[in-house]
Amino acid sequence: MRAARRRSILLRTPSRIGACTLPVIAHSNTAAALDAVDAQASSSNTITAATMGRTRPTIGNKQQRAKIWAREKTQKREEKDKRKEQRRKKRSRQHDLLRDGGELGEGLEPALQPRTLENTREEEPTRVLEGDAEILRDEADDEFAAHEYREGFSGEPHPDFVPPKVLVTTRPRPSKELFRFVADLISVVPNAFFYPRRHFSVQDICRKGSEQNFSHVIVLSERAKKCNGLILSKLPHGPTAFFKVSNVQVSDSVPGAGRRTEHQPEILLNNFTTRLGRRVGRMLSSLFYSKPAFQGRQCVTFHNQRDYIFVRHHRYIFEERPVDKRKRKVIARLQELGPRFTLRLRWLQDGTFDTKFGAYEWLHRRKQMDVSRRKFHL
Amino acid sequence: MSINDELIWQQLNGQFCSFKAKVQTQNFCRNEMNVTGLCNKSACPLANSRYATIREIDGRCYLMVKTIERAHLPSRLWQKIRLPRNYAAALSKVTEELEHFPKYLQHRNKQRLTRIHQYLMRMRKLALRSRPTLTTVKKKVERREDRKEVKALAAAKLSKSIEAELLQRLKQGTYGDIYNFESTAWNEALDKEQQAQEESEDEDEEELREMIEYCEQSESEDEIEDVADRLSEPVVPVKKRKAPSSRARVAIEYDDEDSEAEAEPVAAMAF
Repeated sequence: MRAARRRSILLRTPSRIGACTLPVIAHSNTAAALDAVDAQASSSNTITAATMGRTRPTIGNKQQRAKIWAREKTQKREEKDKRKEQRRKKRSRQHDLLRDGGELGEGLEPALQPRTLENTREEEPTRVLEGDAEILRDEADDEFAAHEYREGFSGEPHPDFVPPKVLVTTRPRPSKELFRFVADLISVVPNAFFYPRRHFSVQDICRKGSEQNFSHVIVLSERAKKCNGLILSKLPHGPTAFFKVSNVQVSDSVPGAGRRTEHQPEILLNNFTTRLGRRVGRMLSSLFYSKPAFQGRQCVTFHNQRDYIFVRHHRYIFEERPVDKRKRKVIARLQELGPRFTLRLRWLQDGTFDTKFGAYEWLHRRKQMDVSRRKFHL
Repeated sequence: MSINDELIWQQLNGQFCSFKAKVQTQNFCRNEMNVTGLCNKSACPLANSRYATIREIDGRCYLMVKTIERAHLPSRLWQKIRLPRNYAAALSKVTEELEHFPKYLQHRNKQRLTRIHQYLMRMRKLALRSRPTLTTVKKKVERREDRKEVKALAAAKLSKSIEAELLQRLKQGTYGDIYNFESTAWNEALDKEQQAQEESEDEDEEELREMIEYCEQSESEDEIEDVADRLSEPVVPVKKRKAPSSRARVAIEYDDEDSEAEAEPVAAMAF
C-alpha cells in the first residue's frame, strides 16, 4: 500500500517540473528522488513556464512592491467585476426572452449556486438510495417494525401491531423547569407516562419497564436547570440512543403557539439519508402511533440538518391562493404548537442502557469524526 | 510466649512503635499483619512470636502463620497458606491450621475471614453495577456546537421544508379524500380544455378548407350563399362554448394516486 502511494507520487512529479524529462527512478526515498530530479532540471537549464510561475522575482523596494501588488489587485478586481456584469446582462437578456415566450436554444446559462455545506458534503458511503430493496427489507425486520401500523382483515389493527407505550422519567431530583419540559413531552407523544425517578437506576427502569410492556424509555437529564440530554431506549432488547439536547423551548414560551389536540400527529422525517440516519429516524418515529389522525392536522417534524435534529410540532392547513386571474394553487400554512428542541446524537448502543458492558453501534468520537466540517453522519 | 516477646512489647508500648497510630480514645496499629488493627499486646504482630492473621491479596485470602521456629529467618518468617474460595471450606481450613493456637487468635482470624469475604462480595456486586460518572463539559466544544446549530437552523429553512413536505403528501394522496381542492381539478380542467381547444381549432380549419373547396366545385348560387352565410358566422372557439358556468361541475379525481395510496398503507409513509 505504502509502496503504491510512493509510486504514485513519483508518477506525479513530471507534471510539476514541466518539460524536463524524468529518469526512471527506482529509489524508495521520495525526497531523494525529488532532489535527483531537481538536480537534473538545473543541469539542463530548462526553465519552463511552470517553474517561472512558481518563482516570482522579488522586488527589493518595499514601496515599489506594495504599489505593484496593489495595482495587480485592483486589476484583478476590475476584471472580475466585468465578468460578473457581463454574466448579469446575459442572464437578464435570457430572462426577458423567456418572459416574452421566446426560445433560448443553446447557451442558457444556469444560475450560479452558492456553495453550501449541504451541496459540498463529503460523500457518505452508507447513504441510502431511494427504494433500496435490501434496506427496505432490513427495516421491515428491525426492532421498530412492530410499531408500524398494519391493518388486519376486518379493518382493525393487525394482531402483530404493537402500539408504542412510552415511559418518561428524569434524572434523580429534577428541577421545576425540567418538569415543564416533561409535561410538554408527554402531551406530544401519545401514550406516554411519567414516572418519578426516585432512587432507581436506568437499568432498573428498563427492566421494570419491559416487564410492564412499555415499548420505550425516555430519561431526561439536565444541567443548571436546562435539559441537556435524552436517553431513548427501545424495550426490551434495545437499541439505546443518547442525544445531547439543546435550545429547549416549552410550548408556553413558543411565540404564538396554539393549543394541541388529542389527535395522533403525523411524523415528518426530513433529511435522514444514511443508514445510521434512517435508523435514528425510525427510532424517533417509532415513539408515535404510526396511524395518524389526519383530521387533527398536526405534525411532528424531525428535521436533520448537519447532524442536528430539529424537533418541531405544528398544526397545518391547506389553503387555495390565486396565482393569476385564472389559476389558483394550494399552499400549506403552519401554526406552531410547541415544544421546540434540538437533538444531537452522541451514541447508539445495542441492547438496553448499559454503559459498562453494552456494545456501541455508533459512538461520536469527536477527535476522529469532527476532522472535516463537510462530513455528516445522519 | 517467650521473654523476648515481653521485652519487645515493653519497648513498643512504652517507647516507640512506627506502626502505632494514636487517637484520643485508643491506639491503632498500621501493621498490615495485624489481625484486629488495634494496638495491644495480644494483637501485636511484632511482640508475638506465635501469631496468625489473614490477608487478602488480589481477591484471594491467605492465612499467614508465624511460629517461633521461624524467628531466625526473617525472609521466611511468615508461612503463607492459600485459603479456598469457598467460605465454609476456608473457615474449616483456618480451624484446622490454628488448632493449637490461642483461642483469641482463632476467634479473631475467623472474624477477619468473614469480614474479608463480605467486602469481596460487595466489591463484585458494585463492579457489575454501573454508577453515574462525572464527565467534563468542554466549553470550547460546546460553544462551537452552539454556533453550528444556529447556522444549521438557518440552513434548514424549517417552515419551508415542512410546508413542501406536506404539499408533497397532499399531492401523493396521503390524505385520501379529506381535502377537496377545486384548484387542482380546475387547473387540470383548464389544461385539458386548452388541449381540446387546440385540437378543435385544427378541426375548424380543416372544415373551412373543405367547405371552400366544396364552394369552388359547386355551381349552385344558393349553395354558395349558404356556405357564405356559414362562413360569415364567427367561428366560436370551443373554449367559450364549453366554458364551465359553475365550478361545482368539476369533480376531483385523484384516481391514479388514490389507487396507489390504497395499495400502500399510509403508515408506510409516516416512517
